[in-house]
Amino acid sequence: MRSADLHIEGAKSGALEVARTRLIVPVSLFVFGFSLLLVRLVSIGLFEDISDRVTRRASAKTEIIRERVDILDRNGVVMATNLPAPSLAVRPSLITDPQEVADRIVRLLPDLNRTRVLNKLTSSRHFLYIKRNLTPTQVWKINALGYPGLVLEQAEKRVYPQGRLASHVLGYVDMDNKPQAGVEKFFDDHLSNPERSNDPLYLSIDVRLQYIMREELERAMDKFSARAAAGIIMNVNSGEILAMTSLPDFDGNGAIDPLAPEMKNRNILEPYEMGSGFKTFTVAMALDSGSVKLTDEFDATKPLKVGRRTIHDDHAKKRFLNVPEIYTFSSNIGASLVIRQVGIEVQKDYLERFGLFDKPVIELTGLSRPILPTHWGEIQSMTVSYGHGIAVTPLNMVTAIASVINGGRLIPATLIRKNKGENITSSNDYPQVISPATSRKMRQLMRLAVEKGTGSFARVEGYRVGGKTGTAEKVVNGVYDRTRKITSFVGAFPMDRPQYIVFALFDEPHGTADTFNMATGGWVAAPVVGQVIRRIGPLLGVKPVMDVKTEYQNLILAGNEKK
Amino acid sequence: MIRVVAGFFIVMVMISAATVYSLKETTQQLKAHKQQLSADILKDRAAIKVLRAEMAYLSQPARLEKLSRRFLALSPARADQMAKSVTSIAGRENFKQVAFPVDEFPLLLPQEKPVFRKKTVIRQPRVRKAGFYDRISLKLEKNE
Repeated sequence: MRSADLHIEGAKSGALEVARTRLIVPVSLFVFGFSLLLVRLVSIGLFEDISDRVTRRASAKTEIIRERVDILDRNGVVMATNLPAPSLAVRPSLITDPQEVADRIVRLLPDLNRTRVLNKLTSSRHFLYIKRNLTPTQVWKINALGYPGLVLEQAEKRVYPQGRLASHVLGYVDMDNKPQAGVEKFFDDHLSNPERSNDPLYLSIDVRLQYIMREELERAMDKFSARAAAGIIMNVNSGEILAMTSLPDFDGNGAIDPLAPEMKNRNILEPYEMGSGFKTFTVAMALDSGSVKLTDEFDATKPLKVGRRTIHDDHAKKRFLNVPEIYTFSSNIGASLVIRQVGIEVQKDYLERFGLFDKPVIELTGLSRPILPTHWGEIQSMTVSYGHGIAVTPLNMVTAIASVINGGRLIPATLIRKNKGENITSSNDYPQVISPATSRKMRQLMRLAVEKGTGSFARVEGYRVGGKTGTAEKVVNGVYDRTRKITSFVGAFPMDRPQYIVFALFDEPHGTADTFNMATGGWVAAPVVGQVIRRIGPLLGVKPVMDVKTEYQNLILAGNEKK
Repeated sequence: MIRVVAGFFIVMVMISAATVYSLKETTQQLKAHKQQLSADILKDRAAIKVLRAEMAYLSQPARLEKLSRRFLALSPARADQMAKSVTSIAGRENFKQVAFPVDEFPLLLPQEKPVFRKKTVIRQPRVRKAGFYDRISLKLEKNE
């Protein structure tokens, strides 16, 4: 029945007609709208790529992962970063055939124990981890097994691409990425802050120098069958540590036993008696306090008797020695006589200013205090003057030596890269320990010790290396043991305007036929430092200087002729 | 007269409704696009991280030294090979400095995420006509 066939008669018929025709407009509009929808529906169903939208939703989730901040070396080489390493977990309630599942898991991950896996699969608990840090292949294979009860959980693993190279500086993290040592622990506030994930931590360490230092130390450690070794390269003007090695070391990527001996960073943890290296401080304080002049002579003709003890010289000259000679030939008697003239109080005051009474300053945890004599009498004062009876960490030693040669400013060591402009420090920023004039003299004396004295094996053609050897006997059961030695060498270059300090220390080295069974600082540590400087000098862009005369040379030559 | 006005308003309502709908649709698509982009960025960032770690691992000094010993006829520079300045090299009084010595150690990193192409038949890229969404997003961009 068509609407046109019906007609209502009467007065109202006109209005109804109007209403009817008006209805057509919205109806046609609706028809139009719905047909649009229909067309769109068909076009979506037939032509639109649906999978596109689904993946979009899924991939948007990755934003949640928070990770530890990277650690880079001074040139931007990655030293610690995070990589995805999924963990395998299990929901035992979803496992129907534990025996078979266990078999298959053990076949894929052979280092797992079958019984233990089975125990986990049949456990009454809701959720259990089976193995952490899977490789991508393992992940793929486990997914291929297709058991709904096995869960792969996204996780991050801290990775140290440089392996053992700087393990003691970096420290390590435990299974839950909680830092346990080193820079990881000290800068945890920064490293675990997800808001700073694009703000990596730049260390002052240079991977290349670190490698050279480690390689040379390791070679010498093998050669002299030493128990341990430690080495530091430091920028004297900024306090930046460019390399810090302690051997034996560990690999932060592997399993770690926190109590193992290789976990100890000997540069900050172990105070050593430094031996003759301390004569540097003795001479520096003597010259700086003005109580001794360079040309003053001291009687080293025979061993010095103080109370019940007798002080001997290792390289006895049996004559009067002036100050450069005492330092160059490393005379214990001379150093003792010098310190007698300086005085105990002045000595203590200077050593404290050199920072040798306190923990070393650096951005690491677990620093060791120096071991000081309990009572400062005349004997103690004298033994300290040549580095016995006082034990400081290698970092203490390096920081203090840096202040002796850099113009007298004690600049705290740092592991964080400083900007170029910060190198030039005004003397107001750091305490002035000795005067620049004394510092200049000390540079020449250290140069003489390498050129003419005990440190001659540290000579490097082209670089004016200065330094001081140190050999100390170890205390075993309260007595000095002549066969166990701590030998060290602290070197710096170029001596006219020192830029870098290189320090090497060996614990219980044994002489070889090459060294005539000598295991002193001059034979063991000095060649290592020399070799390191030979390799790092060109790398650091230090300009070689071929012929510059060392001052005060005449004092030594004149002294030799006297006889 | 009233009819014309009413018709005009009805048309206007329809047009504005259609515009609002399409705008909303466009915004949603843009949002999805943005999500896709940020997911891609995250993925790329993760890939860069892995690559950098691999780079650092592969450029371990010990490994590089071994490789250099084996494949290169080069040895580390010695002090006597270094010149203090250009002028100090014999016979070079008249010189022109064209570059400054490089004292930094730039690490060369891969510039781009490597793309692993499948070796299957190369498909002709589908050329998509600019749809309404593309046109309006272009327009929005221009207006900004």
